[in-house]
Amino acid sequence: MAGKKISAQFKEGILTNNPVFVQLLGMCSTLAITTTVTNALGMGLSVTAVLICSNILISALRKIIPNQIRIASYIVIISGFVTVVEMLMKAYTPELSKSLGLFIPLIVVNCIILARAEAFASKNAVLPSIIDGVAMGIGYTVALILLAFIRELFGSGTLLGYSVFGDSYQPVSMLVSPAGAFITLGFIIAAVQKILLRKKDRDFRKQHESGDGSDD
Amino acid sequence: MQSNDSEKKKLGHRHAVRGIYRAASKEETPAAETNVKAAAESLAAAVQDENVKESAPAAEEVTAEKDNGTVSEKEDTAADKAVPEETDVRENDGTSETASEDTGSQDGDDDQYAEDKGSAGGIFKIGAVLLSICAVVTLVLSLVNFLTFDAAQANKKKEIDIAISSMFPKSTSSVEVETEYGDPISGVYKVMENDTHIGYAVGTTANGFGGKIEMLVGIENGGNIRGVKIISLSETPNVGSRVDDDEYLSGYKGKSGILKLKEDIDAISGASISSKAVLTGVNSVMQLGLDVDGRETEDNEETSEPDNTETGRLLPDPELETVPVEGDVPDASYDTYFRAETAVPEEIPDETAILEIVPVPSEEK
Repeated sequence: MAGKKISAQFKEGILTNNPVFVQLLGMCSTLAITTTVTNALGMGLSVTAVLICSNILISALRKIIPNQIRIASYIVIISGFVTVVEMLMKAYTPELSKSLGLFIPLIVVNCIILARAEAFASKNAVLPSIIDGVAMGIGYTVALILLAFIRELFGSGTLLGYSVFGDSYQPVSMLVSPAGAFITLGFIIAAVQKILLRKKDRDFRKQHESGDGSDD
Repeated sequence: MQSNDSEKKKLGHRHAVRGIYRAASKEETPAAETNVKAAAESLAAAVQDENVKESAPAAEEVTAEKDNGTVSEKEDTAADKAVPEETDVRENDGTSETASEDTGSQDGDDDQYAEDKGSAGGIFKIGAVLLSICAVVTLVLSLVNFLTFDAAQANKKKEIDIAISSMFPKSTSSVEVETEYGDPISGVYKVMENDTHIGYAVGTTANGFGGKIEMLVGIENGGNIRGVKIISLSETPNVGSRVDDDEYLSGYKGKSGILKLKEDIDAISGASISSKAVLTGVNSVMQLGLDVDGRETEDNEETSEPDNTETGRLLPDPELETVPVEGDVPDASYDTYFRAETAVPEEIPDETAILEIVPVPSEEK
């Protein structure tokens, strides 16, 4: 029973309620970071780490924090974790810290973390919040990697820094610019929505075929 | 009996409020809308009850949020609907959130959404909670900073070493020297090739468009610029960040004295603030009048005192032991003014010796 719930949360985080493609949260860092797959991976992992830690702490403190200051407390907690991540990156992964640059501190205002704190962690126990953090973090990382894969492969002809097509390839450098990011993201969101609609259709039809009278 | 009913109504009302709040903060689905309508109706009924007058402001606030026109306060004696409605609301709320209701934290949730914390003790509790959260976060941050500070500094030094060796390919080591220069000079490094002093690398900062630009200016024999390396900048990508381009920065090479825009170096079109910032930073180093062979260049007397350095000239360190030397000692040797961290060579080579040992290489880039 618990296993089913966990897998349902994962499916939600990665597909049906994906923070980037469905909830459309955290767009700023998504569009700016995904020029290379390494950056996307680094950013995704940092956001996941902060998401899990802040979910744990906010969920543990959810009964103590009074209603009037909950947003302020969430932001203090989230920025604390982000700063810790930033300090650790500066000390132990300096190259990644340099290429992610400004966007590490910007994780504080990444709406995904605040949205999950507000919508989930503040209303659920610690263990489901951890699962939610992991699920949403994986969904975010997958979304980033997918976007970065397309942008890096066709926009610079490389993957993970290694040239893939050779020197004769003329890269579609528009893809590396913000305009290209928006366009690619738009196409991916359209594809995801199509998949989700087809799923909803299939589930709906299945319900009717089984003779279930109840709707929705 | 009477108190039981009113208690039930209160509970039902509170759950209805929570249901509305939760539905209002989620995406609009047909299920959620009907639930909101049902909850709003039961809420409207409960508002008529005199026992729940205190939550009326909360109810109005919440119903004002959901301004789709279908919520209205009706004279409905649907108070009995309140209790079964709230279970409906609760069950259907689980559609977009799994694992949401079975935590048994009903009382805590009610306290979250009721606005009746007007008591004087409440404000102290709020202040105390916020203060303790901030205090704990601050403590953790200082601890982590303390633990990672050395590693972060080592990384910075490594970066500077890489920049120095790219400007002075023949250098074997570099040593930071203590000076009396204040802002914006962040550090002066003596670049050594084995035992010979071949140049200086001076770290400086300047205010760019998006924040501080940290750069390293290499000074070679003769007081000319060996090169300029940007250590960090936070300018607009593809606009101001274009100052961090080897081709642009090579325009600084070989220049001496205080530089002027357009005469000595061009600004990048569209990035004038960033370009001027780099120029200001380089000039703050040129104003020091450093030279490798131990003498101040003539430019020093002509330049005006800079606003942002504490001293424009090197001052002797009173605690420094003078280095014992043999033979002729040139005047105003910088080696006696600086306190080097590694052993100072016992013989200070004279001017001609330096010139012979380290000829200025021609740059090809």
